[in-house]
Amino acid sequence: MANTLLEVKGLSVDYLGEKKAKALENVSFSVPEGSIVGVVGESGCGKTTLMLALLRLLPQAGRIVAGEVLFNGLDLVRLSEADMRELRWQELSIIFQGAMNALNPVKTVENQITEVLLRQDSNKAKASKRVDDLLEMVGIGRNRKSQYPHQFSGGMRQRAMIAMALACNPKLIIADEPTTALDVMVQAQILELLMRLRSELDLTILLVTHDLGVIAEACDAALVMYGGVVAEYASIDTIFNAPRHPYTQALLQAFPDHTKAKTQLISIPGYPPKLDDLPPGCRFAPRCSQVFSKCTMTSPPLLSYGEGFASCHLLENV
Amino acid sequence: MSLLEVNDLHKHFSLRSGLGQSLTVRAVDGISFDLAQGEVLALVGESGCGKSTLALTLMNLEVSTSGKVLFNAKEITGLKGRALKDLRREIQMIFQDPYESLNPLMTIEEIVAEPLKVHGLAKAKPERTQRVKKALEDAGLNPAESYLNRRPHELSGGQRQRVVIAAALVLEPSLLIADEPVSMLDVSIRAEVLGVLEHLKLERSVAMLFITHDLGTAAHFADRIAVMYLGRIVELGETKEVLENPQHPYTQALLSVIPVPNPRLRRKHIILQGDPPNPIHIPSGCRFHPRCPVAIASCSKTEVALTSVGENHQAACLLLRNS
Repeated sequence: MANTLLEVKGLSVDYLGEKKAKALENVSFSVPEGSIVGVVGESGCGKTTLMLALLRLLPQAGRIVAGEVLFNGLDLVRLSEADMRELRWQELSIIFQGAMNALNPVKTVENQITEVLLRQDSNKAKASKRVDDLLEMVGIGRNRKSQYPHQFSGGMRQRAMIAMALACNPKLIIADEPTTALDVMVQAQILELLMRLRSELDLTILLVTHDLGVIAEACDAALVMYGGVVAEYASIDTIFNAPRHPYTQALLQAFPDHTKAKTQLISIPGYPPKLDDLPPGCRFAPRCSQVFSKCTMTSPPLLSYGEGFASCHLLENV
Repeated sequence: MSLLEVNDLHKHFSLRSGLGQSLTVRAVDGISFDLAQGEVLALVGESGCGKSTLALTLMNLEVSTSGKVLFNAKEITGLKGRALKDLRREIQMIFQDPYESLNPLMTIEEIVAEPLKVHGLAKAKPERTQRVKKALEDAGLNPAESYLNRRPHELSGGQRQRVVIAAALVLEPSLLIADEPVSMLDVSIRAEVLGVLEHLKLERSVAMLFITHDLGTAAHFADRIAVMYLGRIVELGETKEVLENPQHPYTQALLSVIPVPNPRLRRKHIILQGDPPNPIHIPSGCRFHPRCPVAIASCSKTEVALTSVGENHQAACLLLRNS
């Protein structure tokens, strides 16, 4: 069995404001070293908040109110800001959604990557060599390194982001919707690149996406989130072929699959909950087809069912 | 008889380069297809393949460069004034982004009633409200009454997109051109909006040109699929046939890289390198040949038209014609 690289235990995040929003509640899962774990859910389910909390990059109003984030046994929640800064880029780094907005438009691609490297080691010659290697690794020609982001296509920008994330040899990469705005052919190129880098560099990747197809193609396990809680966490085969949470089941039936032409998609009635106005009990209860009285009163804990975990009262009766 | 018939439609834009030369962007470059009443045709392709320009040209929002479009057997290319306005009652468009296509200052009733006003229909207030309510209900907003006085910001993305649909429906058009109508919506909501469109097709025989980059969505919803590449249709056929038995190398590559939500079906991907070439410099011969994994020498010389490769199934590839 591979070592556990990342273990999240009971993580809760609130956004303070006029009304407190419970953006994450009691999120627990673990990520084995060398695996690709997918984090999937609809808008507002807390997937981006989770990623930002892991990196301690939450916006001003966000607070981690409970829980631990153990990275190689070290609790990131308790680290000082200075220590955390040491870890970012070098141990864990992030590829943001929308590479156009994440890259600095007035700096060349080379300068932006060099900036990351020089924080670690001030030797400029070494840094320059490293930039060349990194760009080659992600498939950007050396002749393009002195160009600006606007001269790059969407796919190339995403490659530049990946090169930057890899600059300091991190162990864990968090990729937040890395292919969302890209065309499907470019998406396939980027996913192929990530999977190749994973095996070449022994990376562990958390891949955040709303696309169940991407999860099925690329991941070893998946964390399904709903309204700020973990709905289900299991191996990829279990998630797609024997899911236990009604939300996972419903999501699969609503998701288009081109290998099943002209079959009916089944929508989930209602809308996801507002995080500052949560229903009592299970957050999925108002939309759940298998709801019963207990669901509207108490929120279910995350329970193990052998092949995985799900937070659903139905599992208690088994 | 077809409701819509498109014959060799072209839409070129001219650009002036820095050196005073003028360049031509051939966004739509010889498109032909037809659409029957109550039929859904999905137009699928990557960004820049010309699918949105085609939609705008069909709506006469862009003036076509050449070619013919017949609607109910009457030519509509170049219509102006009164005749164009009358045509718009028959053909309505649904845009992609429900956050940007609704006026935030208007109530839902005003938004949905506006097309009636523009066309001078249902002038009496009670009749107008009646038609607005009917359109809202047809778009799946029940009870309609409770939406009339609300404004767009009070609605979710899925509800907004239904308002957009209602505003298109209020004129009772026979053709809807929907440009990526669900791509901004979450999965659980998407199926519901598609359900509304499906209902319109079945109950009202509304025909639809469904423009999307998502072959997955097209698979569930369309009767036929047209695959576009650089301003041309490269494959056209019944949905099941195109998806299960794709003939054009581009369609085959596209299908191989669409993620399938089934980990037991991980397949070999045919990944085309680079980005699609630019419609200013369209390659000679078959425009797909520089990226085609099976191209032969003559592909760069001969331009191929759509040829029949099966029942109601056509593709434009030299290799298919020779075999």
